[in-house]
Amino acid sequence: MKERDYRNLTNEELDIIREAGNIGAGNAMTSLGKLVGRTLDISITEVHIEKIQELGSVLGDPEKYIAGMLINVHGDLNAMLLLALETESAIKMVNLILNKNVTSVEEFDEMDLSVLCETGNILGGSYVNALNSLTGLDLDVSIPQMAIDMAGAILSYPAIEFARNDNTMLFIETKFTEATNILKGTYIIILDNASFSNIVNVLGDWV
Amino acid sequence: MSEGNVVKVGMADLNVAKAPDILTTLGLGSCVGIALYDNITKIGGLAHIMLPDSTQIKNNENVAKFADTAIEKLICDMSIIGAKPSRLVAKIAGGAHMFEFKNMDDMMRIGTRNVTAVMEILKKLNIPILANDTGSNYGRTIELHTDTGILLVRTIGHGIKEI
Repeated sequence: MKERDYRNLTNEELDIIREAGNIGAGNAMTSLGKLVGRTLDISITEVHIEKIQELGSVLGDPEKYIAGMLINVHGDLNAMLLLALETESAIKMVNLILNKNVTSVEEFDEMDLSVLCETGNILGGSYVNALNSLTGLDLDVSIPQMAIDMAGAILSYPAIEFARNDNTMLFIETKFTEATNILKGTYIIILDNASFSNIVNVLGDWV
Repeated sequence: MSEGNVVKVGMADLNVAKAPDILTTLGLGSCVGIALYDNITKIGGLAHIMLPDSTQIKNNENVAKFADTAIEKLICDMSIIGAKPSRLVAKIAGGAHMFEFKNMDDMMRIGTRNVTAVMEILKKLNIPILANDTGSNYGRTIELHTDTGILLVRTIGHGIKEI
């Protein structure tokens, strides 16, 4: 296995890692499309390398009110997968799936919250399954956890996890939207360097 | 209240200011915001730490990331602009549990560990903690008003308070 370091990312490695994110998010969005009965478009997947302390701002204002669904990935990858929805989109998602007319996050009942969390679970499963099919890597996922709060506070959880061993982190970001532009959000997967190496080493032979 | 500049403190970051400036850090989750204040010189300092202990981490050159090294640096930076370490008082906020992963018991939670570490270090340095808004499961934005020493804590859905 070749030693790799994302801090010296080559163009070839960038293409591989971007494509992995693209396939994962694409699969997740197909699942979401089926759940809500709408077609979703995904943006170009972007690969970012940032200082850990910048993570609190990657979704914009750290005080932005979002719903975040987080999944821990273990096994051959040490990663965290975050589905972030602006609260309007979380409301829209609940309304589409349950055929309701909720107008604010404060109105969410237990059923609504559980549907949101389960949606995060299904989408995260689709994302990780796609990564697994693509790479053959052995991946375990945790049960998803959801928080509806300030983006910075939600992102502090993965930031702290990755800050233990690193001062920088690599994350792959895919934004998605639906035709009416009401339902939109961001998928982020954060990887450590060993996970980055594993993906690139497995997929590198194809390129 | 006179209008001061607003000085932003990011994650794993710290800064100091004099009255009437305001020091702020946005969206604290499991991290802890440590506000130190000298009431005579009206000098304040704010740190946003991510982890409890620099000695357990290999990659520890960013002093503002850890409770132990950040507090030391904050006191040092405040004294450079005129604060007296023996007069400092502290207010702390943050250390929430944003996610409830099943395999974690309470003592292992990073929010709790951060708060415990900060309290122990401040105690060791004889800096009294005048107020504390920590734990629970929601994010906080804090502002240290250096003209009064008031720490304003803002949340989404859990109110605003002055501590």
